Amino acid sequence: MGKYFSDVVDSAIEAIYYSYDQERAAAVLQPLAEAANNGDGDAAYILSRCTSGPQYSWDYHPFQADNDVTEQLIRKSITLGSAMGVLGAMRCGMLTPEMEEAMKAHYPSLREVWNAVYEKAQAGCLFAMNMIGNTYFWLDIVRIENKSLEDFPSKAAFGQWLRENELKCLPWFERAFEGGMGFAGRNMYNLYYDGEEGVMEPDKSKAEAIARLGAEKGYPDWQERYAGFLLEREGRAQEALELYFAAAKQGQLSSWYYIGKTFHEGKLVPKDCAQAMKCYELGLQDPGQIGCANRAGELLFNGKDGIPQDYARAVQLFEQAHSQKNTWGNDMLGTCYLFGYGCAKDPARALMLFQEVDYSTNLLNYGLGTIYTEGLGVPQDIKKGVEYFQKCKNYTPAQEALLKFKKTLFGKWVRR
Amino acid sequence: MDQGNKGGFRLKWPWNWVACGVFVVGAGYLIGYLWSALLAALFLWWQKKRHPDEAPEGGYCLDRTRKRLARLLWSLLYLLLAAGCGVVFFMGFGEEKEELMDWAVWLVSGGGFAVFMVCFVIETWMDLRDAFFPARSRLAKSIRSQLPYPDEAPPVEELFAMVDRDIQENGQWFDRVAIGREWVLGDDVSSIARVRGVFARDEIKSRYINGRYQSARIIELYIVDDRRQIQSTGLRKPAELQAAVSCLRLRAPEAHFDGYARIARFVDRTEEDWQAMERDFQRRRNERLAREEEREHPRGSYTPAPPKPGVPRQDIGKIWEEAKKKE
Repeated sequence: MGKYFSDVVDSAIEAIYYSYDQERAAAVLQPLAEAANNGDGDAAYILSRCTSGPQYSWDYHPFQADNDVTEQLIRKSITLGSAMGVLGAMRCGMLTPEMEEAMKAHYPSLREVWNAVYEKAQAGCLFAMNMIGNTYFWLDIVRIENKSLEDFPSKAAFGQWLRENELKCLPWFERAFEGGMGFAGRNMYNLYYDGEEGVMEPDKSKAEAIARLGAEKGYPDWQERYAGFLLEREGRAQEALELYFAAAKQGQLSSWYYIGKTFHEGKLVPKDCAQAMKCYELGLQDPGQIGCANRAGELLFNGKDGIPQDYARAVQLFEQAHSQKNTWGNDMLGTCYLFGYGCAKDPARALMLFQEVDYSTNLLNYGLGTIYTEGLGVPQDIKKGVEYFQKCKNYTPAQEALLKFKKTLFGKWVRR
Repeated sequence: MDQGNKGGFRLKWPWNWVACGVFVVGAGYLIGYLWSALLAALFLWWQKKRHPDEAPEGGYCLDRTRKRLARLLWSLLYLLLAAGCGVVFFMGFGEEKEELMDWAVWLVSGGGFAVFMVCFVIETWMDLRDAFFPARSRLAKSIRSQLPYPDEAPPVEELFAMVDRDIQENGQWFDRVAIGREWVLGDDVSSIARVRGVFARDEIKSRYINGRYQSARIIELYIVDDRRQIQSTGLRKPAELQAAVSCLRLRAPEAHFDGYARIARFVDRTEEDWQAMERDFQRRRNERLAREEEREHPRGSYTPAPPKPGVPRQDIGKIWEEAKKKE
């Protein structure tokens, strides 16, 4: 038997929540599954969190999200009598009346469930502390304590009670965070950074202090977040870069984007696009890395500073970012489709991409100008096309394109 | 690429001219030669309008030399004037001239006869030479003059093909001038790499003749190359001249751009000044090319480092199913 739960669960929590080690995290999955299957409800619950998506653990743990499996495991954990499973199900809306009935085979009420977890937290379990903190933070405590407006003399009194309870999350989060559970700092940080109307005002300095503490403790996600604060401080950019490097080395793939950008822009360090490209490529191990996809795509599209032009790969990367609803590289992607750079010519798609964006660049205006003056996928409208060309500032292709058209005596734009 | 090229029927060289010639002669009997010629011209214009982007048969250069045939009308005019002067001159050849005025008329008509005959011969020779012997045409000569070693120039077909290819792929037309990436095709051909000066001439010339003023607008584009040779082309529309100059500013940004009045000063500068100008030109061009080179042909190459192998995403559903099977 482990200190707080079974050996398997204790070591799984340790591997997944108190460390940032992908291999360790992957290694505990099999034992967790076996333990869950052998009747360990807590193991089923911890396993269910692994399939719930990156918001339930570190972003870069090697877990494949699967809603169906999550639901199966949550149900299993409740039927096996896991108090954490009940609180977790409540948090993600899976504590249905049927599940609540199943819970009653082990705990008479939600209050008993909460007490069971609370005891673990009191005994020093960081994971349980975070769970207790969350029951306050998300006000699940209302349901746990079976409270409603009718229990209070006034709406204001109920509000006051809610505010007081929400703030009770902070000491729990703090203890868990300081104790070694980096994950526990997230909601606390958000509460300080954004504040909550009627509960507390934003306190950015406190939020920064949390990020600093996390960075000092070596949590890679917090190193990245604190580096963001340092970048805004004069003379501390180098320190920020070091933190990004430290985070990236621990597997925080998103940090490669910031490092790459630093080399790309050449403000803090000498400009080195080849180095920037390497960083972006490393970040791209995470397919969700929109920033790396866009910036690497830009380098390959422009093909300068030591990076050979590769439209096909640029299209692939911009498409990767675009598939995640990001339009940053639409002007370059649209240009590729318009002229068939690295892909089949598709002016209709180019137009669609150009129209999606809310910014204006020479490339975008030149592309739209070409589409309208040539009537590619739209009825030809030379006047509109010329207006787009005229929006381009110091852009030779647009200046040359403008020379193809002239205004007649009657003010109509025609092809020269 | 163009709104033009509406397709459909098109008579190609030389059948368009043959058909027009036959039409002018045939219809001339019925409606008069002036009207039939106008109709023929209208037909040619309509054909051009329907196929604006289509390269002429044989290429742009050959088309330009062929069009010299139209200048035979000038030869005809010179011939008529020479004939008029000749009749007066030869009729007065044996006559006795008593007054000074008689001598003056006889001598002037003789001189006119000689001058117009020379003009007729030269114009006819040049037009026929350009049209039927393109290798000796003004255009071919101008292309050769732009080559590094004009004496070792390839055959005219290759010369014309070289210019035609650029105009076809990159050319932008401004009235009678086409500007490509490498060549400018007008009455002469200029290599853009050699362009050192561009001078636009848009002047209205007036003169007083027989009690009335006659005005003519001269619209010309002059290009001076690095050998101080001048290539000129006459245009018809002032706006096109300005557009052509704007295009040349983009294609040859280091060249000197100015009005025609300053062309003599530009060409006649001392050798020392010319060399200084040339050095400055080369420096600015090299800077620009270096910037473009950097963009288009990167130094070195980039090979991405193989990414550190990460732990693959675990299919927990599968792990869970397998654990259940073990029971």
